[in-house]
Parts: sequence; structure tokens; C-alpha cells
Amino acid sequence: LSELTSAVRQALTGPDMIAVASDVKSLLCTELAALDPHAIIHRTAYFNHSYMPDLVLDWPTKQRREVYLRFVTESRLLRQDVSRIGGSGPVLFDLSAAANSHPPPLPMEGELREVVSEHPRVMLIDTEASQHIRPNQSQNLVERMVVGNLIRAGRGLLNENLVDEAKEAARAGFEGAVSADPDIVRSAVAVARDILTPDLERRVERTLQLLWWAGGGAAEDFPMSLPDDMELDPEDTRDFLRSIFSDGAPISDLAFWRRLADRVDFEMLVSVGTIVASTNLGLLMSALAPKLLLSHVALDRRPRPLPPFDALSWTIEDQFIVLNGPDWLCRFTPHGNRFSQRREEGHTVPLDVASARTDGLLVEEAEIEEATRRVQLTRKVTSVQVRSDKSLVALAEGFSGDARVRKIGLRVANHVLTAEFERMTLGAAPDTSVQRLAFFAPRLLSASTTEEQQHLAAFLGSSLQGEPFEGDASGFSSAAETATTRGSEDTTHIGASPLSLFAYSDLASRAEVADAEGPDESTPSGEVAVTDVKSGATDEHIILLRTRLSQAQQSAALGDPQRALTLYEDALSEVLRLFGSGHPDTIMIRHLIAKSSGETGDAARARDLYEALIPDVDRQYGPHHPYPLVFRDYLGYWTGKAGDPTGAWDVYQRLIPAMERVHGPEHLDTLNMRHEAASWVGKAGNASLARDLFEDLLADTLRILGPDHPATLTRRHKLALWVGQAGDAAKARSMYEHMLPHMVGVLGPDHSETLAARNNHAYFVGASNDALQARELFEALVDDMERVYGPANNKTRAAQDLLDHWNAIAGGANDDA
Amino acid sequence: MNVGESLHVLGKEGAERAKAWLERTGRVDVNFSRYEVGETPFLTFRKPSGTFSFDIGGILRLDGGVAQFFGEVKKVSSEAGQGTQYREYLAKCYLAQTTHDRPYHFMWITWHPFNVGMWPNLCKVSAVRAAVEEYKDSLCADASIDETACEELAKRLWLIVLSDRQETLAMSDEMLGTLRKALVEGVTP
Repeated sequence: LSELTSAVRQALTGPDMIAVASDVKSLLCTELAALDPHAIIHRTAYFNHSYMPDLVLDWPTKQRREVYLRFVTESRLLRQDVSRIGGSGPVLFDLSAAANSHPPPLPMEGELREVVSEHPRVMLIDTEASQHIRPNQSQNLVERMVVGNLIRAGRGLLNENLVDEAKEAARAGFEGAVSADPDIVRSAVAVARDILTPDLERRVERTLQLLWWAGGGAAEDFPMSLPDDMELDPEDTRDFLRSIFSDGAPISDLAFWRRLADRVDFEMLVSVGTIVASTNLGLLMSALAPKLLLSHVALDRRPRPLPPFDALSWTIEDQFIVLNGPDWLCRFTPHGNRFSQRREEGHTVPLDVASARTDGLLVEEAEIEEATRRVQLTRKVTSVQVRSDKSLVALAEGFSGDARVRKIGLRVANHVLTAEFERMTLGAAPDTSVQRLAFFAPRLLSASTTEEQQHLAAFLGSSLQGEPFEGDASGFSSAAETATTRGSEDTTHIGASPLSLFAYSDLASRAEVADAEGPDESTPSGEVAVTDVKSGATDEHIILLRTRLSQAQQSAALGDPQRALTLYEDALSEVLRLFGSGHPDTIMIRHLIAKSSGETGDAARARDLYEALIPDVDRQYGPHHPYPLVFRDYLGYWTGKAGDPTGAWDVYQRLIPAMERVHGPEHLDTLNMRHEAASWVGKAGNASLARDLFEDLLADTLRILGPDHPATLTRRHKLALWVGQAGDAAKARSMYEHMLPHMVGVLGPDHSETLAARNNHAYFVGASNDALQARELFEALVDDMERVYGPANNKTRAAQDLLDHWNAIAGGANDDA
Repeated sequence: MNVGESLHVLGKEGAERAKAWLERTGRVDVNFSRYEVGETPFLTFRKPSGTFSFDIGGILRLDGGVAQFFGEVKKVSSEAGQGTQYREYLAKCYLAQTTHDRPYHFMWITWHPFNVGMWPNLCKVSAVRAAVEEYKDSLCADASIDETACEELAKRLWLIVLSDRQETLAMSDEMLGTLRKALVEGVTP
């Protein structure tokens, strides 16, 4: 017996009729509260009355239901109850199992069902069944919707067996809808009709339809015919998303989330309103990640490889989603969704613009007909067909250089074997080719049997090299070599090179940003990796290198530059052996070693390595390519960090004309180089020159970027600093006083730049012989820095030192007074 | 169906119909029926040689307040020895009342009158006293009869004769539904 049955049975042994009635009702109240936490339960003055309810349930949705306790259930009495009170849609709670130590033989289940179903809203449930409808975290969305709403909207007979059957049908219905199985969905809907009132049954059906839709099923194939008002609309979809986000049971089918991500736009996601940070939301955001990353790519007007998956995170801020990429972030708010690159926080692009560009890059599906080897590519909007007679390599013709393929399929007779690429944009080369798809496809097959996987693998392998693909790396090797022979009939853009792996490094991204400003037709840098590949670099080498470099990238991202450095150095010897010192990949690794050396504290080594690297970079890329300029930027930076600001100034002074030549004088990077030059000359001791340079730079920055751009604010701050350093503390103080309100308004009071400006303002207030005010300003600043950075942070401690300094002076001033 | 079973069925039907009719009056809640909950303590009392039970029990809503009641139901189509059963019932009522010393009400509900010649006296204290005297050996351990208790009991005896057609002379389900709705919402119509 269930706990409830036993407890009611115990209560019924009491000698006082009124107390017994009260106790039994209390037990039922507790049970109902557990079954439906949203129900508001009222007791009436009646108990086991023929016409008056024992309890009345109200829901915040203004629904009401009456509960009648019954100690005996037989069809004759049940018919009376249906006749007398059926119109109120009652819950008849059968306590006969508790009332009778030796219960009489159960009435025929079928007969009871028939009687109780005579009215569409009458439900009969017993104490033993109730324990089976308690909500729990393992229930899926549909199961929870059915079981969790039984008290509010259940109907018909619900005994222990039938509740279990209903739960099973609901559980299966969810899976059936996600996997687009019409028979299971039909069965689930039939059960829902038996045990739910029509309004909730329609909701369940609608949810199954949405799951079907999100699961990839075509709307017209949904097995139930829906009335006209059952067409999917945005409000339904929003309700569905709310339900699914608040569902404690994660949906582990990644393909489901990817399909849902295809059909959910960010406006809809934002319109869901309050977002609960749930596992399912996380899964959807992960599924959306490739699209977002591609958006990022699209902003640069050309594709580039994207960061490891771990680099993406999402948070809820003010109930709205913020996606944090490695160097960008995306905010989704009702006031407009903005996509911004972190390096240029003021420069944002409406998300729909980015998304539109993204759509142009996506090849949704490539399907190959086994018999004819005909390939059909489906893009987001249009579909194009590509004829491939000899080799799948021709498939590459269907891709623009920018495209990514989401799914590859092989049609055998009427059956399609598919491989979906979970991370198509993540580990893939910028010039992902069909060969590479073929190489990974067998490992990515998710919806096929082992035999089917082998079949697809064999087909893709034979198409590449004329013999069965055995599933190891050797098949790819020769294909890659063939593909990288320029001029060959089968030549594609394949990059049998590890370069692509680090193309997302800051160096590459900066170069590409530069390219985006105006592609230079004379420097086809994208082909470099192909032409210089030496024979002997097998795919095994490449995979090993990719793995090692990926580990290094992750170590760096996780704040372990020392381990990253070790891994890069390991990779360098192999790359030198395979490609030589001047190869772009070797250059890239040498750059990363130099950079990591600096980040681990050895700025002098970083400087020396960049000095040695730059001649090879110049030879490889020539004077018009952005890379040599970017490497000189690093050289200047690490020269200064190594304690030679004069040397840094010298590097930047020579770099600026080249930047102006390659990018133009108004390019952001050109302005940044001028900024670096001015800073280093000041640090080299020439504050007046730094002041003058910043004055010129600020005028140009204001003209190009406007007064609110973060770079403008930073340069106003730096100008004031060097004005003060050049000897005019009072003017510097005044400049800071003018700029700080604007800075707080644009960047916020806790922004690092704002806090730094406040620090300098306080400093120059003191330097203007106002120690008392300097002390007050530093006191407030230290409080804020402790809150923002923590008390142990170097910036906080430096401000604390200055506070102590001005405190001592101000104390002396007070004493003097 | 043997005789015992048929009597049980009649008793059960009588209890159900009595409950329904009583509750249609709006004055009565029949909380328990021994045909539903079996031999329950709140319908059962001790006698010197074992126990006895009333058929139904519940709450009576009178103008003077709420009282607890017990009922004996006879779904019969003839006198069927009710005279003797009634006297024994009165003695049981006396025992139940004195056992807990509470102002219980007691209802004899029948579908056929009995002892018609004595009908006006069936609820009088003389009938109570005579019944207790007759059954005191089997029901009352105490040899002396409490005259006051007899008088109090006589004030709370109900003798109700129902008929099949009379049962229809009550508020309809629709009217009760309206009343129920109003009462449940706490609004007086």
C-alpha cells in the first residue's frame, strides 16, 4: 500500500467522527499539494457529501476544480456521481483501498472507464494511483505535461495501471516526436485524449507537433490532423521554448538542438522573456554557437577558422542572453541585438546583418547519389546541383571558398545515410573540402547503423582514391597529396597544413580584419599554404600537429602560457622538419613561441625571437601583406616591455608609414600604432613629445571614431596624463575633471579605463598641491577598486600606496594647520 | 443470493438512498456509512456482549447549531418486524448516548411505517423507558435506568418514513448545483 493509503487507513480508526473527517482531508490536502504545487487548496465544511465537495482547488490561471472523496467505487454509484456533479468537472478521489482492510473484488475496469468517461471532465483517481503521478526531475517534457497536469485537467479513470500506461505513452510520445515516428505520436495522442480534458490534450498535441518540428519532421507529415487554429505561430513556439528551457530533464539529442537552432531566430529567443539558465538552454546555445561564430566570420567578409568550442560561454544578464566569444560578444535584448568585437566595443553590427551574411555561407546539406554520383547541395535559401562524374572532389566546385557544409549524405536507392557535422566550424580548416568531410564523416555518423556507417565510409573512401576506405588515416593521406598538387584536375582548396588551426590566433584575425578593409589582389595569401606544402607531410603528421597545437591554444586560453610554450616548442621542431623555417605554418608557430615567451615573463626573449622572425616573414609575405606589419607591432611591444622604450619608439616610428601605406592613415590599426608610438616615447622620457603626439592622435580619432568611441576616451585620458607628466599638473587635473563624467557615462563607473582615469585624476590633484582632496579621491577610488578588482590586485594596491602617500602628506598639512 | 446477502443489499441501498435524501435537505452530512467504511469506531459502540453499529452517521445542521447524529435505515416494503427492531434500536440509542454522554441525535429511517396504532408515542420518553427496560439485560450493564437520559434522548429522536416517490420531492441536481456553486464560493444566494 502507498503511504497515502496507509495514512488514510490509520486516520479512519479514530473514534471521533469530526476529527477523522478533518484528518483525512488534511492528508488529501498534503497529497494534492505535492501532486500539483500550483493548486490553491480550500477545504469545505463537508465530508463525503453526495453533492458538496470536500475540497476546492483553484489555480492562478483562474481554473477551479472540486474534489469529492469517496469510500466506495462501483459503477452504479459512479453513474450517480457523474449525473449529479459531473458538470462541475470533479475529481473523485477513491479512498476505498484505505477504507476496507479486505476490499471487495475490484469492479471491472472497463465498466468503470465507460461510466466515468460519460462526461468529458470527470476524473476518478485512487490513492494508490496518486503516488504514480508525483512530478519528478527525470520526467521528460511531455510526460511532465501530462502527468503534472492530471489534477487540473485529468479525466477518465486513473488507477495505478492506467497511470503507468499513460506515463509510458507520454514518455514514448516525446521520443517519438523528436525522432518523427508517426505511430508513437499517434499512440501518445490517443492516450492523452483518454486521460486529459480537451484543452490540455490539445496542448499536448501541440507540444508533440513542436517537438516533431524541432526534431526535424516536416510539418505536413505530422500524423495528427490539426484544426485550423492549430497552425504553429510565434506564440506557440515561445511557449514551447519556455517549457523546454524550464524542463529539468535535458534533451541529450544534439541533432535536435541543432535543428531547433536552425529554426529559432534570436529575436524569438529574446521574446521568450525571462530566461532560466537551464541545461536545455545551454544545449540550445551550444547548437547556436556555430551560427554565431559564422556570423563573426561574416562580419569580416571572409571565413576564417574559429576558436575551440570551449572558448564560447553564455551568461544571463538582466534576464537576457549574452554570448561571450573569444574576442567578441553578442547581446540579445528587446532593444536590439548587437554583435560586437571586444577589441572595438563601440563598433557593433545589428545581428540581422551578421545573420544574413551567415546564411550566405552555409551549405545545409550535400547529398550524393550513389548510383549516379550526382551531388546536390542545399543552401539556406536556394539549392544548386553539381554534377560529379569521377570524384567527389568535384563537389568542392559547389562550394564557394567561404562555404561550410553542415551535413553530408549518401543516397542509396531511397535510403539516405547521413553524417552531421557537430563541429563543422570548429576544428575545420578554412577551406574545408569534401575530402576532409569524407575523412571525418565515418566518425561523425550519428543516425546510422554500424553497417550504414561502413557503407558510407567505403563509398567516400573509394570515391577519393578508388579503393575502400578502411577508416584509418592512410586513405586521407594520398587524397590530400593529390588534392594539393596545383594544376591537377582534382585540385581543391584543401589546406593539408596545420596553419588553419591557428588562424584564429590574434595575429591571423588582425591580418584578416586588415584584409577586410580592402583585399589586395596582388597578394593571394590564401594559396600560400597549398603551394609550399612539402611531400612527406602526411595527414598523420598534420593531425598530430593539430592536436598538439590545439592543446597549446587551450592551455593559453586557460591561463597557462608556460605549458602552451612547451607545446609550441615541441611542435616547432616537427614543423621545421616538414616545412622548413620560412613556411607560413612555421612562421606562425615561431610567432606563438615568441608571444608565449613574453607572456611567461621573458620579454627579452620575445623581442629577440621577433627580431629573428621578421626577415623570414618579410621574405614570405612581401611588403604589402599585413603580416609583416603585425609582427613589427609585436616586436615594438616586447622591445618596450623588455625595458627599452626608446627601442620600442624606434620600431613604431618606422612602422607607422608602412601602416599608412598598406592600410591607409585612417585605419584603426594605423591609429593604434600611433598610440603605441606616443606611449613609448613618453615612457622613454620625452613627455612633451608624447603629449604632442597624443594631441594630434586625439584630433584624428575624434574625427574618425567620434567622441564616444572607447579609443577616443582612452586617448583623451592619455593626453591628460602626458600633459601632467610634461609638467602641467593643474591642466591635467582640469582635463580629467572635464572628461570623467563623460567617461563614466559611456564606459560606466567600474570600467578599467574609468578607474585608471580616476587614479590619474587623483594623482594630479595631489600634484597640484591639494593633498586633502587627493586623499579623499584615493579613499573613494580604493573602495571601488577593492570592490571591482579585489584588495590584492596590483592596481588596487598601487592606489592604496598612493592613498597612504597623500594621507601622510595631508596629515602633515593638518598638523601644520 | 441468500437471505443474508439480500438483506445486506437492501441495507446498503437504503443507506445510500437515505444519505442522498438527507443531504438533499441541505441540513445533513452523512459522513460515514458502515456499508462504505465497514465497522468503524465512530459508528460502533460496545455492549456487554460485543458491539453494535448504526448504519450511518454524520452531522446535522439545525437552527440551534451543529449536532452529531446516527441513523438506522430500513429499506423495507412491509412492517417486517420493525416494531421489535425499533425497541431494540431505542435501547441502543440510550446506551450510545450514555456511553459518551453526548447529545447525539438518532434517526430511524424507514420505507414502511410500523406499530401504526402506537405511532404518536414512538418517540416519547415512555417508549424509550420501555425499550431500555426491555433490553437492559442485553444492552445496559447498569441495572438502574437514568430517567433524565431517557427524557433527553426522547427530545432527539427522529422517525422518518420515506417513499420512492417522496425521494423525488426534493431539490433537483440542477438546483443543488447552483446551491453548491454558491456555497463553495462562499456566497449566499
